[in-house]
Amino acid sequence: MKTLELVITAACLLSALWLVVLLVRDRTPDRRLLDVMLGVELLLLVHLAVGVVKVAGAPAGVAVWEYVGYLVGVVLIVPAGVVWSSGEKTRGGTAVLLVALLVVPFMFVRLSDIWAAGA
Amino acid sequence: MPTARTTATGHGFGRVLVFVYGIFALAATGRSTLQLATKASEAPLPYSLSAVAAVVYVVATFALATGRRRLALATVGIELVGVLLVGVTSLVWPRDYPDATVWSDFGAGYGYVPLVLPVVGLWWLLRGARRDLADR
Repeated sequence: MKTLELVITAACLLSALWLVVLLVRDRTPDRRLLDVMLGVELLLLVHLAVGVVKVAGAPAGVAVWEYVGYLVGVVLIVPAGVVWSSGEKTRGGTAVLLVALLVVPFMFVRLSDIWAAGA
Repeated sequence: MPTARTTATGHGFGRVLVFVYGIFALAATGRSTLQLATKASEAPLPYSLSAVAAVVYVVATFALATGRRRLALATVGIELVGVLLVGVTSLVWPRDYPDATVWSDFGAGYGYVPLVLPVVGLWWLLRGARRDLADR
């Protein structure tokens, strides 16, 4: 799960960097970036499955529902960003994608915090 | 695109603002639902505050997304007062806050975004309001 999270984080940060370039140059996201985000989303679905299996055997102290909440939330954030930005072909729309991608690693940190607090 | 649309609260930069508010609306609602459902009696003060924060974020998101400027100003204002009050009191009387709320320690648990968000929100709303007046 750690490796998976590292790979996803790297993809998110690289895409975020690319989005900053797009923002500065005032361009809208290209096809390739959306493909990368689709890849991130597929990996996040794998992450959800792995996480649910992991939490099923969690030590008694782990806040299971909070953990599951973050697992599900992190799956929803990228599609939500794509949908919300799609109607807006401006810098604002591009920045929505940037926020969505940066929230993903933050939620990974939360997940390991929740686990560490209970294990 | 310097058209009338840029003054609407949910477009341009407002698009990002609504998205961030939406995230906090979800996070705060999730948090308070969980806290109230599983351990309401343990820490009544922070848990009720979490619920208040959740309602404020949900209404603010709705108001910003649909261009209800007055409602947005009111809720973002309440949010600013809330984060400042809870921030100060959670530092002065930490014993009243056995568990965290979104606004504890000025939102430190969320990278201080809860503190910055209402300031940015007010800036955005007041800037838009001035533009609307200038256009008339």
